Amino acid sequence: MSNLFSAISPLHSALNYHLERSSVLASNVAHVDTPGFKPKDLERVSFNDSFSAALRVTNERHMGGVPTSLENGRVFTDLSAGGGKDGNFVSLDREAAKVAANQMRYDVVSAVASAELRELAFAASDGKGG
Amino acid sequence: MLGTFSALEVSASGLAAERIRMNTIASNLANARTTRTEAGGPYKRIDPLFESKLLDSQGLESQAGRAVSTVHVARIVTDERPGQLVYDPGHPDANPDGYVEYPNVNVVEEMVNMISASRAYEAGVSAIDSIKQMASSALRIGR
Amino acid sequence: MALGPIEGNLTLMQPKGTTDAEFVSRLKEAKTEGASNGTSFEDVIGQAILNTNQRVNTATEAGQAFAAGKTDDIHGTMLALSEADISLRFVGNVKNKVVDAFYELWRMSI
Repeated sequence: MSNLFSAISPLHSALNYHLERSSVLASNVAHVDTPGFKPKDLERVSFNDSFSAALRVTNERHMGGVPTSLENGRVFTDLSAGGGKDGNFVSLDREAAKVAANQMRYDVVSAVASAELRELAFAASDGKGG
Repeated sequence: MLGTFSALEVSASGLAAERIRMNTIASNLANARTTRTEAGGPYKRIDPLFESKLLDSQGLESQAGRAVSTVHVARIVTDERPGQLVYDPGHPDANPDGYVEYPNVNVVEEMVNMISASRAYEAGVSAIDSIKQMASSALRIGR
Repeated sequence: MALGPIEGNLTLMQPKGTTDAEFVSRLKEAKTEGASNGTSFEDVIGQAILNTNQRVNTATEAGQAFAAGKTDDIHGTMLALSEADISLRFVGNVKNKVVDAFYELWRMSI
């Protein structure tokens, strides 16, 4: 397996995490008025723990490290905003802040991946440009 | 894996649900003084009952897939609490004791609910914008 | 809906779990992986060429799958396309160098 794109793998995996988290957060926002609803969030898992060893789905189509895997993070319930009278724990302010931060991080990782790939493209063209 | 389109589906369900909520509030406000309905008796205020529903197809295999759900209006619930009784024997809808029962609508409460539904709707729109933004970023990879 | 406080705004900006520092160090490890285990640049390029065909196939399939609605993976598809593109450029570059070298030898022998 080629080492050429090995720096892209952790970036790919970070993109997977942030994208999946965006669904979880969108779900919290949609449920702001659902009785009894408790907001969830997605926790990043460290690359070296046993949880992530289980993530390495073998799929020949994917090359270079951690592919699109089944589990991109650990789900946890976030009750820190406190509950309302109908048992709903969603705070729009809190969720909106998380949505914004998560999106920005996705954007940055995407830009980093682009920059990495541009460097490699430059090297591939032997320094003569694109 | 939960992706862009699952996130959009979920957000869209939130917008639809809040829109229904707005409609119930509009109905309550419009009928705040309706003392006679087709069914007889004064108008009774209505509320939507929201419930969550897991995504059907992809995404259920992962933990996150089970943590994400769309929101639906299970049914519209009628608030059966009695409304205010006002002594007005001359009113066509007065009862034998001369009292008219008005709808159990509290206009201030409905306005608060309307603002809340409106905020929830805007939050959903914001979430959709952010999902679109992420997809745009992804499209620029390698460009 | 609750009106709770947003305690420590910074904790909201940082996702729970691994920190940015851990992420960056993992990235650095990945970059130096090749150098530290004795893989030379030539070996890397050689492997890149061998895998190019596979990458191009993966990329084509990824693009087709997305178009057919079989997958919603935007960034995965874009990464696959980009990696295939770069692989092809390497191959093209190496081919040019081999051809140049051949002609140079050919001229010398005349």
